[in-house]
Amino acid sequence: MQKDLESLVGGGAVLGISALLFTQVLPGQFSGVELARNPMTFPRFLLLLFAMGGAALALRGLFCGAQDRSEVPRVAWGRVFAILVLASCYFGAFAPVGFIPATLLFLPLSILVLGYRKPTVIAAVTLVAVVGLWYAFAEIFSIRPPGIGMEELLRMWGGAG
Amino acid sequence: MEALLSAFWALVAPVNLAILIGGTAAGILVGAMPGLGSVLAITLALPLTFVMSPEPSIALLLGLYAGSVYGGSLSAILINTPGTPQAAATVFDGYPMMQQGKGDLALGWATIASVTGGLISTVVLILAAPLLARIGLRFGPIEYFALGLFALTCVVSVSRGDLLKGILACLLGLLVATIGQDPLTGDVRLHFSSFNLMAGIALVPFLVGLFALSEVFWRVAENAAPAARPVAHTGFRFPRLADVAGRWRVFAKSALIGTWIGTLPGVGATASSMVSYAEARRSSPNRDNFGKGEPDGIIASESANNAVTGGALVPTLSLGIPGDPITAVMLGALIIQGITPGPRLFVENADLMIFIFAALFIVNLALLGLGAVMGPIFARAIRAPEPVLLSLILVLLAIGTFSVNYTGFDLLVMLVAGLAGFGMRLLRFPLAPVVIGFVLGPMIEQSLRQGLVLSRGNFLNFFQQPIALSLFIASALFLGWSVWRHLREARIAKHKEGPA
Repeated sequence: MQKDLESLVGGGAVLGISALLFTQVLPGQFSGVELARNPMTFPRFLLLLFAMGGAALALRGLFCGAQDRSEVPRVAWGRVFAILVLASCYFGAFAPVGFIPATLLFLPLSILVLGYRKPTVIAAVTLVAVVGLWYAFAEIFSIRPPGIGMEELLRMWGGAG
Repeated sequence: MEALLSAFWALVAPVNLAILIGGTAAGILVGAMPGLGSVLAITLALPLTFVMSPEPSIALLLGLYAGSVYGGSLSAILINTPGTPQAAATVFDGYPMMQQGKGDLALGWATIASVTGGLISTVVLILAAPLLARIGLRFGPIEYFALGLFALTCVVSVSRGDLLKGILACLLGLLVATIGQDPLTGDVRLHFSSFNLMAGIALVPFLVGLFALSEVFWRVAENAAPAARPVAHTGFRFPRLADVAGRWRVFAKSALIGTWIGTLPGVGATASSMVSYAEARRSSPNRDNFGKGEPDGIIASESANNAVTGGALVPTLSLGIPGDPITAVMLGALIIQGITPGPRLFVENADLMIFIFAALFIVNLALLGLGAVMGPIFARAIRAPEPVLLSLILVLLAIGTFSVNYTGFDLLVMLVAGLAGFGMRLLRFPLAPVVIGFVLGPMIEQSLRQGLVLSRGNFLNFFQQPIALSLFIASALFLGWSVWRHLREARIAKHKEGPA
């Protein structure tokens, strides 16, 4: 019997999410409340359907052939992993390190990781993007990006000079 | 009269006009870049709407919406790759015209068709939305529950691929929407003892992650080696007025097909352009030239896909039911602004409704100028190296999402939603039902429970309301038809495999 890995993995993931969410809607919470006023009524009902659907998908994956026979795309896992790690570090550093230093590091690294190798273009894009975005958000939209600002940076530059 | 004047003054305010035109231009730019699309354009701009008042934020979103749908035709004609899925049918005759050295004229036909489609659908929107809203005023919680269920059924039924996966995607969206405060009692639930989750999952990081970030991951995953796209240079030329007048039937029919399909939840612009193209191919006197550079083919596709913009706004504005992810995001943006789309919007915010109608007119007229003057320039953006483009999008997503609530938690939500979206694309779960479920979830839950309170906990009472009953029957028919179609396709596929 041909297995449908996509459905099997998808069904398994749905069951996993259901189990995780089930810990939050355990019977006993709001037990005395009538059905219509109980905050758990709707999530529990959805969760039941979700888990049943997940089980059906997993079973279908086990016992039936693939439903969608179109070609499975080839995934460049190395590139995905690299950009995922970079993006996670960037998002994590965004608030504590600040927009300007985090982006000055992330943008050229990300462009390089994705396979573009012209240093002058990378440097120009990075500088224009950092200055342009900072200016647009801080001055036009009045939302100051986190961390050190452009004026402090220029002052420091001037002081050092 | 007062509402009309108020809308007029809002529209002619230089800032609003600039945002409207700028949004349209940005939409064309994003739409022209293959793979980015209308949803990405809207989700990227969503955080910016927080710092704007309702009028400019609506102007920005409308400009991006119409602009991005039109922008897809540029790359379809110039490089044989539709910038957005909506422009897929434009390739059939647009690129052959380009190969014949008539790329400039193909761009002209696409622009005229997009503008005509957009304008006709705006007229339909102006006529139909208030009528539908008047019907909507009679709706109570039970009818709203039935309507929400009907919208979800439509979206799930027409979502590409697997029906079961569509249903599960929709349930996931509904479940994520239940995290945080209960809309009826205010109790917190599904918060995993996290203070951040008690407030619920915010719309912007969730949608931006699910669509935009997962799109970046997906494009990184798909292209092992970034290839340069050769783009031939071309100008822009409007077709002669007599040629346009001679094809008025194709213009009108395609626009009406697009508008009608746009009003149906879940079907969308891609299907509308394909249906319209097929109909034009069947009925056009030039049908033998289709696929060889026939302007009727471009008109059919472009007029229909741009007409969807007005059509999709009919149920969104008059009933608060979005038909596709784009209008779902727009609905979310309006709610964030404190405006609740639905029948009462026409009574309580008449000036805003007039503003939306007028803005759509201006957006479509702006397409004419922007397409003519800047189309060929925008087309060069297609050559931007993909690594640079994707990296810039990541930076934009981070700064845009962070600036909404100024919290790192939103970036975490965006990352998790992005990974979930990527996993769903990989396992071929449709994304549209997740966002429609997420946006409609609170309304469906609230109306279900209010209905239960009204009917003293007896769900059978829901079937005694005529409007609700007809919507339940329509939902059942839609779902039944999808199951039947799904089983039939599986049987045919099995039958084909059998002899081999």
